[in-house]
Amino acid sequence: MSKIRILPEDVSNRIAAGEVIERPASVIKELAENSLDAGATQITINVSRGGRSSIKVIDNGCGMDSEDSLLSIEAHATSKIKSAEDVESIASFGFRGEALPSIASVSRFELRTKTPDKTIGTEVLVNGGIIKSVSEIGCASGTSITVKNIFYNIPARKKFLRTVNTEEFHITEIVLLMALANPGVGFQLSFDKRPVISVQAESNLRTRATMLLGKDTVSAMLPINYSENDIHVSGFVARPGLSRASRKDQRTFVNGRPINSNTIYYAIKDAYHTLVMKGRFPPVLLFVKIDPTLIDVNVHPAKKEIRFRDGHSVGSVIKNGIDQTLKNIVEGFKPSPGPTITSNHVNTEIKAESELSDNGVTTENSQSPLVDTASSEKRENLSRQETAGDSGMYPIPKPPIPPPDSSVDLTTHQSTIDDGTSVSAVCNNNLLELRILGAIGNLFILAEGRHGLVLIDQHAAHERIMFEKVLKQMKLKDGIRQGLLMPITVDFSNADTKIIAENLSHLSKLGFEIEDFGNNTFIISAIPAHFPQDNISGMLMDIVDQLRNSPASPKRPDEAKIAKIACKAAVKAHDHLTDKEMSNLLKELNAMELPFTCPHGRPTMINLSFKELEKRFGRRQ
Amino acid sequence: MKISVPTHSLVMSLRKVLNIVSPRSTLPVLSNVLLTASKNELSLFTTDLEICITTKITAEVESEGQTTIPAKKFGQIVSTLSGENVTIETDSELITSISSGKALFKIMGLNPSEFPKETEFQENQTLLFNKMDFLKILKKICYSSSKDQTRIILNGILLSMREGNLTAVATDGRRLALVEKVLDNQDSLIDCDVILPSKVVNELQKLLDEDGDASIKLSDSNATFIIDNTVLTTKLIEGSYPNYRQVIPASFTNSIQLPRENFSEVLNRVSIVVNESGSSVKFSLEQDEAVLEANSAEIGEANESMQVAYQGDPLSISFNPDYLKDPLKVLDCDELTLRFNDEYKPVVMLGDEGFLYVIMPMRS
Repeated sequence: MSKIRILPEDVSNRIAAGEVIERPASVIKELAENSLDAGATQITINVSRGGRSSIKVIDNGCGMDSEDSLLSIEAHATSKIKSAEDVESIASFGFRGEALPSIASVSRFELRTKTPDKTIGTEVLVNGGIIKSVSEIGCASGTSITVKNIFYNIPARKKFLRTVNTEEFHITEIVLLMALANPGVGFQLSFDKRPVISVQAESNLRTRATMLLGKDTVSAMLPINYSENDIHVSGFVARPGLSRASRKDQRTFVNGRPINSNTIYYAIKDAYHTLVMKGRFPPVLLFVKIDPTLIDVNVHPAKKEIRFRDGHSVGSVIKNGIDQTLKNIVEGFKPSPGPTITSNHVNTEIKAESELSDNGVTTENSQSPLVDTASSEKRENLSRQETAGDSGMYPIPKPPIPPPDSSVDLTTHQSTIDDGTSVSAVCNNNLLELRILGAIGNLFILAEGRHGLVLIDQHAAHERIMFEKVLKQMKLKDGIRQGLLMPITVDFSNADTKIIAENLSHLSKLGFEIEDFGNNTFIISAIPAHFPQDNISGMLMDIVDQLRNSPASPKRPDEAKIAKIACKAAVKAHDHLTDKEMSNLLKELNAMELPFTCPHGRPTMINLSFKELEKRFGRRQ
Repeated sequence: MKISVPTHSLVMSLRKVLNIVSPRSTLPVLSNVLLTASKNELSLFTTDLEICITTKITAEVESEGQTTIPAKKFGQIVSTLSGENVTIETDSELITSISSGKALFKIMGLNPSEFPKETEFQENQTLLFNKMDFLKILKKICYSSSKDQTRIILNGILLSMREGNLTAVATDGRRLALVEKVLDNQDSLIDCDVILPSKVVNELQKLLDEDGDASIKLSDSNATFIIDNTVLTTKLIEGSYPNYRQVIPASFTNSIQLPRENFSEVLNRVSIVVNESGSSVKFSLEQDEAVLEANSAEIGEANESMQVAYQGDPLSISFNPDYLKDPLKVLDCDELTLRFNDEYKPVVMLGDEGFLYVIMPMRS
């Protein structure tokens, strides 16, 4: 007898379940995505005991007739694609036809569904993958699925379920992501009958994001809207100076699907280069829209990862988009150069500014005890929302898990944060309008601005000025090359060879003279005169790595050197500056492309708003 | 061990051996100097395991013996002593007393048996050379060696012996300096190539301070320099030096003569306006005139012309100013010769006898 045999269907379904269904949150993700694919405008999710006891997902989508409802729990049965070609251009969330049979095989599963044109619906009961009964039932249009006792028949998997709190956290995050990606759909999530998320169908992402992430978070970010090469990037990105200790708040979506993609993360990192410190992550809420034929979703059963057919161009569009958005804000601060800016534009800028000055500021709780005591009152309001991981350097009060009682009226809840202005890493003042009051400790320049007291780190500020100056000078020298008496041969891997071959013109613009010698060997006969002259092959490898990770605009190999020059040339802490020097420093800083941080990503200025000061003096509640 | 030595001669000898001591080592004894007293001599020995150096001075030896003490501290102490003589005495606890005049130091040492032994090797041949001649050769080329830690071979200098001729070469891949010298009075020379580490080149320049003869013993992997009462032994850099003959153009379309000092002055003046790396100076030639120009976006520009005998087509070549300045500082000749083809090909500078310098131009 042969040793190899085809596994029975229930076994293969359980194996598939292992990939697709990791925990209750993945059940909810699969079911709610089905609802979205079914065109639902309202999705209600009821969870008891963190999903261990039961998960119920009710939608008002198109429903199924009795025949389809039975087919839906067959493996690889799906209505979403028809042929192999369809896999190439997937526009729906699901397509593998794995979710329902997988879920049904590891739980007690109840499906009730009715199409709008029928008067009677269907009920299917499945236990551990075996259909127990199919009957007609009266129910509302749409589909309602109840998943009870998940993993009851897989004790090994059941052991891996975490505490109710942890599972609830994961469920909240999944629903939050879906709700952010689908503002047009109302979401209700409740844990053991306590409502947690409750949002109406909206037309506008900002409203939805505000409801879910809090007004503070959203107004501390900049709206982004950018298209290039038929790739569209929208959403919100952090203002310079705002960053978190983890990537948790970088929520990225591709065609509405929450995605973890290194391509996107690299692009974000690149765009914020020198604006955030190493190891810090600017929060973003980023939606990428791209032709579905240009991505491959079919990489990971849970579809958390995707492949881009052309990752380079996606990365560069994202980076350009963020770059432009960040540069616009800087432009907004500068005095308008003349009537070229339309009044409309100016108005929106001012509006954005004033809105931000009210709430778009961040608490800095871990650094100064002063701030801690002063904002303790506010902290009370927030304490329930702040999870332990949120105590980063500039944590924005943001409810990753909104407290249960707040969901009833999120707006009231948020209004308590509204006037919670405090120390800001982001300064919204036009630097030229600042009235310099003096300096303390020969280190911080104090100035009065429209919105309060501004503290400027003289070294960091001057460092940024010197950095941009030297960078500009260096850029002028790009292309000047030092010939080599003895050409250097460098061997690359196949993949790197391709990158070099594609980027020969870029490298030549920098000042390299590189010739393909065949067999992945290149001959370098000249090198950029202003780049570090040592370790040429190492420098070229670094450039290739940069080109691979972020093809849009690789970091210059001499940037570290420039930052060092800038640091040395800049006035130091404890250097005494006269009034004239201080005002000139601000004037020059104002002219910088990215004035808010030093080249190492530390903030150059901090704003202490009037509201914050008034609160500390007890003039304001 | 108990000895007495003149302070001045101890200071001078210590200077010769102190630079070899590496500032950081995982082997503590390497920070020390090994003192050995025997007959009427004190020898000082230091090593970093690549290079070792011994120097001897005459001393009044009361009792023979050995000890090691921290080299840098010993150097500091001795250089500040005001007494004419220094008395050094080591007890059985390895504590060394250093006294001079009314000053007394007690310095803790390490066991001399832990100290690495001097490298010994069987030499293939011994060369005799004049100290001043050899010093000049080193000075005329050493600035051209590379500082790039990824190209160890180019960090050193090449000494190539061929049919009674010595060629010394240093290059960093952008410019190359070379000196050729006939080795006279040497019998039965074996052709060989050795690459000396840059640290040795630096130390040799300090040791070769006066006239007289010295000798080199060579093997395939080591070299020993015997200079008066100092012996420096080093490992050679392994590997083969690039074919330097290949980079020297075989023919030139043009050649000009320049007064060295004047050219050097003009070059220094003009290049004041460029100060950061990656800047160039432009050397332009027209009928009977050479112009040096420099400019930088943030400072300004400068130019100065010189009279030269030149009849060729107008031509301008850009150089890294440092690459031009370096040889001008060390040459002795009054007249320089520059030979070139066009603005892209290597340019050759000739001056002192046997000296040849090749620079690769900059281009944009």
